[in-house]
Amino acid sequence: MNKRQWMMAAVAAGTLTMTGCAANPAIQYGDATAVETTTTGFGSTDLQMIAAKMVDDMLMFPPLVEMTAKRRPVMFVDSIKNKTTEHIDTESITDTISSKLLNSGRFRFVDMTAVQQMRDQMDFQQSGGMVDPSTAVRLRKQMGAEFMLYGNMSSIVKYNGSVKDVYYKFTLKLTNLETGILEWSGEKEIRKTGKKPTFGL
Amino acid sequence: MKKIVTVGVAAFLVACASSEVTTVSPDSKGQYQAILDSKYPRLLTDITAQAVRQRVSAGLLMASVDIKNEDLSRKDLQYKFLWFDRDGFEVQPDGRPWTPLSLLGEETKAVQAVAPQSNVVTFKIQIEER
Repeated sequence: MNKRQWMMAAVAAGTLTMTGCAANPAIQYGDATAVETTTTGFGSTDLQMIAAKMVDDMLMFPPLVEMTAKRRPVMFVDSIKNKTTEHIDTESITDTISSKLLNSGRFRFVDMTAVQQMRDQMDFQQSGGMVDPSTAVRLRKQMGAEFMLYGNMSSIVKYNGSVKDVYYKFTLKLTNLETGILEWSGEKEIRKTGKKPTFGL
Repeated sequence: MKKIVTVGVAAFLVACASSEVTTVSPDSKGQYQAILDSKYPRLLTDITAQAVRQRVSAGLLMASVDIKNEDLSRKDLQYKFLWFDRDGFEVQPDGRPWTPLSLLGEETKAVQAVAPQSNVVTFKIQIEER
């Protein structure tokens, strides 16, 4: 093969490579429940492990098992205090926990994040003049929550040379609103260790 | 390539022993067996399910499996519980995450989980090498 033929072959290979890249972008769907270890920061696996542990513990705690045997207590979810140095969407954690508890058929929830929307809709039904009064929802019929779910998320971060160690502790508590008694508390600890590569960022 | 071992775990309630799920085979005493199945024979010899326990509390199945690393070197694994109803339908697919599990040489750890709903009668646990 002479020099000209080599040149043409190289151009053809380059063109084919670029065409291939354009036609097949490197995008894939992955398993949302897969173990994610991209960084030592709080990630999807941590959220899922915390939610699974909290729900399992609550569903198997003997006094709660006894309480939910014949009725479905009503709860509301307060915020989780984020005491870590990271920005963590703690509402996402409580959303997952409350969804799993609700789907277990053992508990019911009042959604405090939708209070204003519910009030607006009730005002519209009651005084908007557009809704048949016989089908309008009646006021003062909503159920009050019996229990409050709340908690903390904290972390300890340490460095030793190129090694970073992160320890997370998630605590969830269930308190009886009437008596003020803490009925249940669960904890999940997570330790993650990462090492910076010798070269690169 | 990840090596996959599936531990089909007999986790039927005694009353549901006649379920149509064929991977489950409780013995005459109602004890539950671990059935290991893998395309990768090496993993079958490196990891074993030592004990399979289950109990029903408030209508929810609780499963526990002791996983042993038979090898002398550390193994970084991940596991996931799958739940099935009496007709063999998976209950809440993707409801449980893959959970990391590290085992030192010859170490045994118990992993456990609670079924998401009361219609669960059997379960499987999948174990992968990370």
